Amino acid sequence: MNAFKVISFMLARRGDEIGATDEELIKSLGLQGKGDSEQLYRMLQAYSNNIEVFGFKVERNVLDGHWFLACTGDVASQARINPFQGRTRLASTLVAVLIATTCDDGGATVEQVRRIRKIKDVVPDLKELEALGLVKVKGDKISLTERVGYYVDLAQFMRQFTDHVNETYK
Amino acid sequence: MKVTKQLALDYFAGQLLEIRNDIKAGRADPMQPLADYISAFQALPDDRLAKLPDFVSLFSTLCDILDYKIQAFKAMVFEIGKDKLIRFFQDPGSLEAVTNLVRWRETVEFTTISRPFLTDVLASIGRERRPIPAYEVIDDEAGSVRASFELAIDERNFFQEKAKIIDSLRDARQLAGKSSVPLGEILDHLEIELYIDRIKAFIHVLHLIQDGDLVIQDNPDGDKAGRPAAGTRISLWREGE
Repeated sequence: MNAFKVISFMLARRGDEIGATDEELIKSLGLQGKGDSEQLYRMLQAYSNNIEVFGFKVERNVLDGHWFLACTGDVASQARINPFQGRTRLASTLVAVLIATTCDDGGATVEQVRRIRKIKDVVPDLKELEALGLVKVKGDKISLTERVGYYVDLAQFMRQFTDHVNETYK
Repeated sequence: MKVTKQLALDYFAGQLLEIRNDIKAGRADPMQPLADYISAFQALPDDRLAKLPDFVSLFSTLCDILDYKIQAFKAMVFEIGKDKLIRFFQDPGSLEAVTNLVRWRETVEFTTISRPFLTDVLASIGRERRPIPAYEVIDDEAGSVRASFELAIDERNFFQEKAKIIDSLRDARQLAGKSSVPLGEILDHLEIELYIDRIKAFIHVLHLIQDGDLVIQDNPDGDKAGRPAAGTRISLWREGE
């Protein structure tokens, strides 16, 4: 099995475990030893350059340190990628949780999310998001899980949210 | 002569310094994760013994970067005034507007894909029809051993569906004759006519290009490396071309 085949297999794993960590890739590629990380990054870079032309890119979930495969912006918009396709309310509730987490030092609560969503009850949505492994609800407190990092780039989201609020409510 | 360990440390210190300078000059985003470099640091030779001044300098660079990151994060949170946030929460359409801004991403899943497959697709892009064995790849290291390559999509096999897809594309008015269309139109067609999810349809399109059934038109706007431009058009290969 060649190195790119191993990388493709590892990065495209999807199930309980998505993609692969540095350590897993190093082990699978047999890179253990001196300079293994540097070698791995060079390989990932070469791999990324090769697959870019097909509309794929290597991304990293900063919340759990897993590398994974995703589509480039062009393909994502052409393919209308949205993990919540047909479930707009779930997307809205997750965004409300993200906003509540961003805006409050104390973290998100069910009541805050309900107020941001402007609906009577968000508990069914939160249960579905919990079943998808995206949030954890403990009493009134809601926390995001590492899995969210596969669905959205959090730093980019914060930047977009800040710009939007500052532009819209001048 | 410097030992390997010292060279690795120098390399790491150089990389960090470059990041710090880029952030300072506004060329890099301080919010970018540093995890790659922290992992690289962890991977430095075991005893991590080096000359003190080198480590002091490296540590100082790292502190600078962390400081820039903290400042950037604080700035982001405080950049939104309290009054603006109150107005945001009162605005009935505010959440929908933000939800529409989010660029969702989804992980791509292939269980078997190979470099030969990718390089073959690359080789056939924009060239004449060049039939390639569709489901055989040669394992680079094993040499003569041939591995069976199948792309299972929702437990259906692409190769069994290929004829249906090609027939449907041949019947498509927009692909009549030598007409070419953007990728999006092909995805629309497969989604509407055959109910194929768009991302899966994209994988089908890659295979059809590999097999020479779809042809990427030469695009003068492509880059020097021969990569197609965003507006690349695709046509159906027809007998006699």
